[in-house]
Amino acid sequence: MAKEIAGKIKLQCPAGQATPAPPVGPALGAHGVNIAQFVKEFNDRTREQMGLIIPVEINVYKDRTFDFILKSPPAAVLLKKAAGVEKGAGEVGTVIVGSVTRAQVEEIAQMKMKDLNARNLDSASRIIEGTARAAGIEVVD
Amino acid sequence: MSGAERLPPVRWTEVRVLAPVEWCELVGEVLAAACPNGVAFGRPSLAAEPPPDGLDYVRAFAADSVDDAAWRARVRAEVAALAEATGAPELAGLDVSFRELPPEDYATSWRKVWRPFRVGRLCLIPGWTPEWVARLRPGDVPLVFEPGGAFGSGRHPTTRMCLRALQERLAAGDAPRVLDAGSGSGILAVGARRLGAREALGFDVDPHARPYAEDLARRNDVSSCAFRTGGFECLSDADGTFDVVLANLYSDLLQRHAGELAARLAPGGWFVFSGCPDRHAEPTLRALAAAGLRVAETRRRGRWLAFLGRRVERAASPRSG
Repeated sequence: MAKEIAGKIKLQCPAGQATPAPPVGPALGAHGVNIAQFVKEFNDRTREQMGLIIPVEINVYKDRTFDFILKSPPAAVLLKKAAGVEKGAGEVGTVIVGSVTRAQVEEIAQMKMKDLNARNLDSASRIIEGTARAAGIEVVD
Repeated sequence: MSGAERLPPVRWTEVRVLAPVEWCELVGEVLAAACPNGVAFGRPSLAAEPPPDGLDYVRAFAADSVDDAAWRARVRAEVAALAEATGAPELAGLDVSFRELPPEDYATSWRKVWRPFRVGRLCLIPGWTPEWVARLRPGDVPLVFEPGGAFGSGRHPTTRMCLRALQERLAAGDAPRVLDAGSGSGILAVGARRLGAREALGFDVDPHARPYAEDLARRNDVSSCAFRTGGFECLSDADGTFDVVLANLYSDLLQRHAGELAARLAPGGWFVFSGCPDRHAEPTLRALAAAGLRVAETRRRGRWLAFLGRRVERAASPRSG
């Protein structure tokens, strides 16, 4: 079909557990998008990642239909996985819960560069490092 | 409140932070810890002011049962702690605002913008307004649909031109076999069957489209209307040629697949190809002509064109899958 895009919506929703409540409802409802269908399809496609927050980019077309793509997990999730910890610091930057190497930071920066809108790898690495510190994950050489 | 009364919708509070674009994801992480339903990025609505250059909105939502002064102070403190924790001075002094949203039943409120609409005598009726079927005029053909996750709700000019041409041509009384290339929601194939085609086959490379199309056929009690996932390779020799070929596709796809479209059209059969913006008309018409497809009429709706025509005899025979 000759799809004409009316807008793009970026959300992060809990895998397998999205509901019509905000943020989904107000974001999609403003475009007249069928919220029940989005919720059902998102939950079907993310059910196996239950427990994670999944970034999703939704294309809304001029005829108010939609499709969506799932993006890479948030940097904080990738950092916790790399550090081998279940949870980050409960409050921003209060306790150290684990560590990652600079090489791991760079690897995550590579993966996330486009999603972060970073100008280059250095800029992306700086953001990933900052995200690590905020989550209580030390960056070691 | 008695059990018979409907509970009012939950009230929500929006937390909004204007943050540097590269840091939006981290700010979203922080807000998600306080608002586990999820986070939205970007302008709250198309009518809202765009954010200043280099910044974007991060928004999260909490039910009013958790929204109190202590909760707001915690959210502010977490966002304020980001600059020091990350070592990023640009995160200092981020503006955090709270806005109480009017109560709304989001599961159904999106439907407000949908009304039944008409394309010629074909009446497209959203599934939650079945009462409209009883209000049709003699000769109207209802098509009940649930708009959603596959393109083709009938509202777009390219789809409307196809539906309009289809019913004009089918009014002659014949009952052709119809092929719908790039069938999306299935609206053209199901519409063709409702308007008198004896059989319709649709296919689309979008792996999510087929269930929507099959649901549309079921809703409208339409048989002899099948859908497949894939490109032209999902058609076989056994499918043969079709009396009518419909394609509501981008012009680059019309150009690339002109030969395959022609090969599937029976000699003397007719086609409707929509989805061509006017600036791509010339190369598209050249590609169609080269494939043996003679355009007899070009229709326009806004910047979109639809080509109607017939196959000329020198077109190739059907190719196998």
